[in-house]
Amino acid sequence: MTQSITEVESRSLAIDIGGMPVRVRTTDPDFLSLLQNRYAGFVSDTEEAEIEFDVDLHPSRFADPDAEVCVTRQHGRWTLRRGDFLAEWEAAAGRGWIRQTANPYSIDAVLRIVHTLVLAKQGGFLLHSASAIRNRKAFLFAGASGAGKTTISRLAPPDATLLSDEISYVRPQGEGYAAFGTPFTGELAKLGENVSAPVRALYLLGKGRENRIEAMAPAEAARSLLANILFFAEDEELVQAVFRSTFDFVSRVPVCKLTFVPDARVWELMR
Amino acid sequence: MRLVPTSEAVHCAKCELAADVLRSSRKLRLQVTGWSMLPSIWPGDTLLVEPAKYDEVASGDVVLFLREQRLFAHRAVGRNADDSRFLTRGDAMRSEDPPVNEAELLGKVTLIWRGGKCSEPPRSLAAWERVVAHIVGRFALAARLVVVAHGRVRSQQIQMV
Repeated sequence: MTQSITEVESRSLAIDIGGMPVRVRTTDPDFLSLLQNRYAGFVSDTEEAEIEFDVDLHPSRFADPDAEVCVTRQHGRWTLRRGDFLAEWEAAAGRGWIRQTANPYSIDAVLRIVHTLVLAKQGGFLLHSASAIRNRKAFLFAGASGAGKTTISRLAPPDATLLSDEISYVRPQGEGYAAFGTPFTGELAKLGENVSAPVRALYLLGKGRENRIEAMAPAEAARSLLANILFFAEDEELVQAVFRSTFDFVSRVPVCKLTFVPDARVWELMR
Repeated sequence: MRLVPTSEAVHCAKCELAADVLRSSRKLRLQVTGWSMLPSIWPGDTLLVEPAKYDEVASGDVVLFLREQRLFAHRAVGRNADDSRFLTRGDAMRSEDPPVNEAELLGKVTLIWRGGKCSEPPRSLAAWERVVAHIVGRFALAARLVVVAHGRVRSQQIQMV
């Protein structure tokens, strides 16, 4: 994948996650360079971006840097706010702006939020899970911090392709769902590969004394899935969409408990 | 081993999660699919349900309860002899449900949305409503015809709006 930028677009780049390029414009070449490094492998040379953001870099910190994330919609315009950024996005026009300091974490959060909004309409979601492809099938590994997402990512054999060790991108595809690589990293601090595959199963992780897969009752599966879906917006329409997607996913994809001993043998179950 | 649940099992899972919401003292909105409460509540109506305890239920209330992983919104019509359970019946049903215990009770219906309008659930039926309920409760075909006719009238009203 090329990372070339034409002269006309010398201060913009397209970040392509899940096949949806988001163009980011800035007047600061250092910040652009920082983004190119941060999203290496996800920078696209496409001219077509469905979403565009102008980034307005502020030199100083915001008034309340610890403020929680807040995402609201009014008359079709989304406002995304956290202690370290403020952004607005006109969904219909696909245009918006971000005000932040020159750091990669704020724009990372904005991208995650925007993807959750777009995915919700498409029947997909971002999932707090590690994910990897093996034998052309994607496996998702969800769980709270400490459940084993980083461990299982670290134990992945050479023939497995890591999609993410922290946040997976899931969208309906055909009769099932597909998982896409993301640059959103956890403790492993390793970007996923920008590829996708049909989802074979979702595993809720737990460490134990043996490797074991157990089916989950649908209600428990849906509860666990809901607990791990990333969604930030206070928006009734999209909350309903995410709820519907949760049950659709549970009805199409096996959701199981995976208890595992933290060594490489667990991957023998991922076939 | 079947890993993907049946649609029936998924429906039951939705009911369980809805029950979770009310048990955690939050309100719930849900859409009606059955006709057992005709003509008070119609298929397609949206109900607002608020958590309620056993002692807060009075005759005439429409209560929501979970039984065998399914949700029922029926009218409370009294208590059993030792006051340990209350009795419920769908307005269009010919007989009462098996008595409802405290563990099955989830909440009370406090509002009904229908065709863009919002109202409190009626605590009793008017004479004509009792006639409709009586007919619907005895003839399944009549229930279907009433629901279809109601749906047509409603869609015309929506078009007019």
